[in-house]
Amino acid sequence: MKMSDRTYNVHLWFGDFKIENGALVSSTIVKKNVDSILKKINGRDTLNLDKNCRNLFRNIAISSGFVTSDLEYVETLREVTLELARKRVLEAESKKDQQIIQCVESIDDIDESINLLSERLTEWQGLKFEYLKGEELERAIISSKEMRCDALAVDFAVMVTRLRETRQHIADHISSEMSSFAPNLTNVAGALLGARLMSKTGGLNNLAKMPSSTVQVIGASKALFRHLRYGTKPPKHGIIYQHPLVNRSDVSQRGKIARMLASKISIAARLDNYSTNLYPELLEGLERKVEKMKKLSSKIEEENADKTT
Amino acid sequence: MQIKPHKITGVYFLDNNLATRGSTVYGERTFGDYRFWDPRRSKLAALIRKKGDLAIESNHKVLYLGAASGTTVSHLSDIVSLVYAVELSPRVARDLIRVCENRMNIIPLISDAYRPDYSQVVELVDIIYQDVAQKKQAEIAMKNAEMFLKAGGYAFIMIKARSVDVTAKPREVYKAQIKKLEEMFKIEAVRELEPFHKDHAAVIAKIT
Repeated sequence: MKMSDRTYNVHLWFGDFKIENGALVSSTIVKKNVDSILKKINGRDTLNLDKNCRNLFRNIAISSGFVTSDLEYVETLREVTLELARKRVLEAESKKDQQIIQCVESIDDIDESINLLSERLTEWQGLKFEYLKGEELERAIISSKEMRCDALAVDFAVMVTRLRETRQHIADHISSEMSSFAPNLTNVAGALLGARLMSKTGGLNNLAKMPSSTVQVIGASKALFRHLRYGTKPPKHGIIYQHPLVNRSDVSQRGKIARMLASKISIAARLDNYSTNLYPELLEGLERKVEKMKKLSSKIEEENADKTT
Repeated sequence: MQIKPHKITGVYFLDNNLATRGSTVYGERTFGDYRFWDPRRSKLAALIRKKGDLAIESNHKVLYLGAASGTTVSHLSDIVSLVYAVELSPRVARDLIRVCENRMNIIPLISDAYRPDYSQVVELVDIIYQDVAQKKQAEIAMKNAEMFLKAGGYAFIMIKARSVDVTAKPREVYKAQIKKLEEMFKIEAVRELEPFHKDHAAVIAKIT
């Protein structure tokens, strides 16, 4: 290959090199063991390398004495990248799942705290700001310093506001993490509900292994066991009640919808656990099914109404 | 069973089925050391079915973006000399690593193809094969081609319409992606992968 007469500084996985007029003029090669090479790779030099230099990697490796043959070059590279891949997988796996779970559980904690604190604030300052509650009250207190509102109360309100902001940040973080970590689950259940299901089951892997009849009642264990022990009515839904398809539907239909939703959530969790692709048809199918069911049941209702009149 | 070589060296017809030769990887059907290559599982197999001939040679180096669990990668590694296999998701990469452990000519890279951090490792390649489930598919292909694809080299880009835009019609998605690709490539052929893969099209692009 014809190289131009330029000087190239080339940073590669096995060392740093200087090429002048197509000839190697200086080189620092890395020790040929996996650890040293990994350190070099993780240094992550982003280089705007002339494309044509890429054809010379093996030549450089051989002429600098790093390896003795083409074959050895590939063997060494393979060994190193394989080790790096294993490391990255291990890191990501031991973290991502658990990180999301920590996030969603902390959201629940924060919600509880916000309720508690804003109740206190209402009781404390509510008389001065009639009819105001929650966020509005906090804003009113903070912006009303001139009204000689208690400085302590202002402080308190600022803290609650900060807590709300933090909650929002965590929720945003969960959304973005979930859509890359479990895109199908996020698509079907929503990021927060998906994360909650993972937190209740201990992780995506566990959720994926559950039958959808279990998924349907995750979070309703009290009612479920009451049903199993005393023969009361079984619960229609657990935390999947938080899904708009369930809680915005008529009570008479929630059971059916919860069942459909749970089955799609199961499929989504399995897809996410064993593949990477997003299958949007999952949610579309669910919505279509629910729509169809609603139409059907309203038709039946009409017919029954006709009969009785 | 009748064995006939395909136009692409390293690919075979066993009766009417595609196959490559190598050690079994994912529980695929085999016949001797021939591994059946199911076009319903592999978009590359589907493309070979649809297009017939492709510019893949046994001495080629391939940069494979979106290697997933390594199904197609394993067949490709039967055909070409070296595969740089890039996969972002650590969970499926676990399977990819298992494939790499049994094959000497796959370089696994757990990285985001949209933000290539494998510049110290990847040589000039003859082919970029791309099958990513991300939105900016054309951009990914162009970014990587600019860095790694040799002059006159080919990019085989599997466009997943559903990943780009769920609501748009697949054909419109293809059109829009191809228009972007034309900034950098000469588009030689476009094949929809029906009936093997729904809402997917393969673009064969030559770098200009």
